[in-house]
Amino acid sequence: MKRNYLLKLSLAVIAGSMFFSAWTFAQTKTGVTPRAAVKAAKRVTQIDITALESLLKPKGKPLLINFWATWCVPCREEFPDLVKLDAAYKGKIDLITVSLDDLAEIDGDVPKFLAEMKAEMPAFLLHTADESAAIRLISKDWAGNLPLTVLLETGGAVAYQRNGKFRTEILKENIDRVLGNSPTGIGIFETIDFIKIKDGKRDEAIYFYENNWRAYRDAAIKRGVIDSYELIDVRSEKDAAFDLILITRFRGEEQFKNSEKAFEPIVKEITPNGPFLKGTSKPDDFRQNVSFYNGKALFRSGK
Amino acid sequence: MKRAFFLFTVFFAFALAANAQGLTVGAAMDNFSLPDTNGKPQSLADLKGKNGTVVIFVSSECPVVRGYNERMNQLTADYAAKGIAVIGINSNSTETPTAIKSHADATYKFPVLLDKGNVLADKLGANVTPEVFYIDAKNVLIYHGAIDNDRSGRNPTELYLRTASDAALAGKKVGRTSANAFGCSIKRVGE
Repeated sequence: MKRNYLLKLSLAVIAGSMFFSAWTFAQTKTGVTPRAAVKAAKRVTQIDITALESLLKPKGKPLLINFWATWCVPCREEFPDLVKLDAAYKGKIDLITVSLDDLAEIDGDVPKFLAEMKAEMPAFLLHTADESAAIRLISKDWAGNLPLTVLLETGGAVAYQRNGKFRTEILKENIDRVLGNSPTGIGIFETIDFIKIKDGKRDEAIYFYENNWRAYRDAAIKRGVIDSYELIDVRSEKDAAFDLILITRFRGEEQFKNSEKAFEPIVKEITPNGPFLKGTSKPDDFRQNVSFYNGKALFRSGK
Repeated sequence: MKRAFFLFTVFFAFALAANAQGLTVGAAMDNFSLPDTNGKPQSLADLKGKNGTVVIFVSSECPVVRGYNERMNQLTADYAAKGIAVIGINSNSTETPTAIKSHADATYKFPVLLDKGNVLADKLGANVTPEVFYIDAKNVLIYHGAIDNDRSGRNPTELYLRTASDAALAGKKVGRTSANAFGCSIKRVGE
């Protein structure tokens, strides 16, 4: 009986030691795993660029990363919503925060603010002499201005990125999209363009839409500006009134209404010197917009 | 959804695209004219230095800028002797002209111009405060980005702007023409 008791006690001690070792390992600079570190949420782990690179790789789930600092007012303002998102999506996504505060704050203002926020997500503080390299690593579209929130798909592709205060509804929509949730309760709005290709200049037209229209929309999806898009090549035996159908879908009325403004910087960034063209023909030379409609999906298949 | 959306994204992309990515190193900065804190128009041509000009996007509220105030004033003093002018630009829509004026008057030894509607910030592609555009005597951009690599100012190991200006003034090629650093976002209109 006594021997049995000692055996159980020994096993408990060994198990406890193993747990403590695993927990301690999770706090080291490299090898950090977001959920493993959750138990030490109010402890802030210092990372360098190498550890950051490791952190930027999703570990089997979509990964939401918020870059912030205690000196950044919009960062502080959006933090309560980040905490709510962490609670709402716990177990479905990994959410981590990376502070860009001075190293001196790792035991000061940073954990103090996180405690005030009741933040449970793993918290890191990036310390590097070459912030430029870190910024490039995080996003080539980023100048380093805070806050920045990045949503990565499980495979590592950027699904959504917001520089500046995020809008919770749009961020949630993107998380849901990445998780494959059906848009229950959120209407899908659409714009539909019917295009006639002029003078047989099909190659010029397809090139134009692929390199401009499509590129804008790929960027728009990542930024949560649109839901999806589609270009349909109309196959008809007879001469059709149009040759292409361009569909752009928006998730929710707010996204729909804001899209015009939201597209402005995308167009500027992707085609700063005007649209990409295959030849010398201008867009009006190779395509005509025959008609245009707005629509709202009444029902659609789930994802 | 308005028809204008598609007109915008597809048909008129040419017109909207000018200067969209901002000023790139090697390109010349166009002259600009903005009101100073007293409402008087000031142009780049009026304020530029004979050997170059440093245009710095600042903020009266950003703590990171606050940490650089002393260093920016020191640069202004050092550069004055070398024929390089310093111009501050405030493009933040959230800061009032009154607040910008009282802060600039009390803090800076260089003029601060008000970029209402963030027109110049958009044109140059400025996003952060502080963010520097250093142009030579011919207004060609030779360095863009951070002032140095230490917000706290306690132990900067890379003096990006000074290194660039020292090289340029010595007639040498500027080694590092850009460097980013974490800072505040320029609060644009409508954001």
